[in-house]
Amino acid sequence: MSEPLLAFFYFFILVTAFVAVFLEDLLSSFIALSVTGVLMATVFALLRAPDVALTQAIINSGLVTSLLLVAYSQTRRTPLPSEECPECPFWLQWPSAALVCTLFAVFLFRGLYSLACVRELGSAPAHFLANTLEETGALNVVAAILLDYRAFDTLGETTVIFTAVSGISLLLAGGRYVHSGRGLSFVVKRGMALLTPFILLYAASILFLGHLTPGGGFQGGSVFATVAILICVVYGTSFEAARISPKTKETLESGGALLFIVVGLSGAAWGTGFLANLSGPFLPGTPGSLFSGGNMLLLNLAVGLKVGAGLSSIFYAMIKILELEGDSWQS
Amino acid sequence: MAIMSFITVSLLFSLGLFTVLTRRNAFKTVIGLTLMESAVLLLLISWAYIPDGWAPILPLKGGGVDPLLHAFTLTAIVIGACDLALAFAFIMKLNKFERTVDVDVFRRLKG
Amino acid sequence: MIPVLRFLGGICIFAGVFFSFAAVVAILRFPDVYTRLHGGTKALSGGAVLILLGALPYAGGYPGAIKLLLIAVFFLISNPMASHAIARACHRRSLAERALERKRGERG
Repeated sequence: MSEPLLAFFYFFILVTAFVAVFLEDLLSSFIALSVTGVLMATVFALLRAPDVALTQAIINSGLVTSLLLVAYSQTRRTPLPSEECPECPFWLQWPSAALVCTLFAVFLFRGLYSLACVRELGSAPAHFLANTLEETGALNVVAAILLDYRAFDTLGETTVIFTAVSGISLLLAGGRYVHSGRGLSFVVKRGMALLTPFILLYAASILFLGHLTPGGGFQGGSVFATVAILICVVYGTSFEAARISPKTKETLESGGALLFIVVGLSGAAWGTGFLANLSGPFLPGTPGSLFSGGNMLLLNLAVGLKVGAGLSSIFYAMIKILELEGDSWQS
Repeated sequence: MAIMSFITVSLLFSLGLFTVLTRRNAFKTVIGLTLMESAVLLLLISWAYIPDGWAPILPLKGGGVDPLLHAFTLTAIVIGACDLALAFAFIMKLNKFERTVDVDVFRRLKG
Repeated sequence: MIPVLRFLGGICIFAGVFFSFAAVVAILRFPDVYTRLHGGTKALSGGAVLILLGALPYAGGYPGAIKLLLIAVFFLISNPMASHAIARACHRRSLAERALERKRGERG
């Protein structure tokens, strides 16, 4: 990989991070943060990590920015705190923090520098690269690691998503759902009607072909959640709630988790072990076709259902109107 | 080339840490958290890169890069997004109670 | 044939970069939100499509080239739609009129 190109991107990542931190206007700093995410996705693609670049671009630059903007719009009417603090001595404010952070950066760099050596593959990655086709039947090595070799970690990750969705639904439980039927103008509605089938097709292709090409359940599920958010914004929330009600989203999310566990238990019932793939009741198929890789297709579907339904539930919960009638801790 | 990425990672992480330490707006704290997580992701991917390696999609045309760290990074990205969403929900709920997004006011909450 | 196409592709990419730079200058220097949107969208749509068309000879075969064309079509449909949504939202809240009143008030 050409070093000047990477150096250019690293420099620009630092510049946009600086802008995101030190800008007073919050909206501009959010956009600068999104640009940092896009630049990092480009760096990942240059460093030969297409899966990770796709995930970073979709989740960090797309979904997290939209959730950030929703949270900002919910808290917009309260006054912004000023950065001055009169009762605090000046040397304790930003100079001491800058000193601590500079020392931290220096020591972190020294520690990382001592690790620098001629890179070569360890034994586990070399085994994965060499034996994935025989042992799992999939072409995408990263998907094989996530859904076969270390599928239990992916189950834990879906549990983390479930915890986040439950926590957010619990925290924002006192509000009422927004029922606006207006949406945006006719031009945007027609344009979205033209584009939405193709975006859905793209999301389905990322999800179902995740064991052959870069992609998988997380990326595909996130694009499905993005389509749900788009429909909510463009056509109004009552349109979206009529199509996919919150109850349906809960059912889809739980259905995804149940599908994952049922697939794992079928491996245990076969006698081999929980989440067993080719040594369990699943067939490898011909490499390169859709129905290959054993249970990876089902696991991708389960993860995609969970992530898609979970993230769109998060969005739908965050746009609620939180009314607290005379119930404030600061009386 | 690894040195370049180490410099970027250290600076990015310390920038995120500085934001969390000094800024009063809760959204700036979230931005700092995002920068710290991004620094760790950059470290993982730049450490996984082997010179003249190909992307880990079979059939490989030559040597490959380290796919295990890519799987870890995927997990880290998704979990990072989830904890950021939870942080936004906290900020929104506390804002409804306290009518501000000042972190110093949040810190003085008791009981 | 291929080197000639690649040379033409390089010229297209340079033109696209120039138009994108013009879009940035428009967003920074124009006085009003509507003029900024107008200059930014037009120049950015043209610039991005030119860059994608210029990348066609470098795509390495027909599958990659068709993907680039699809991305260009998608961008041409969605970017003006997004700018229309922004402009209509500004019009609904009368942002430009309020900014003009503020400027007139400052000038005294």
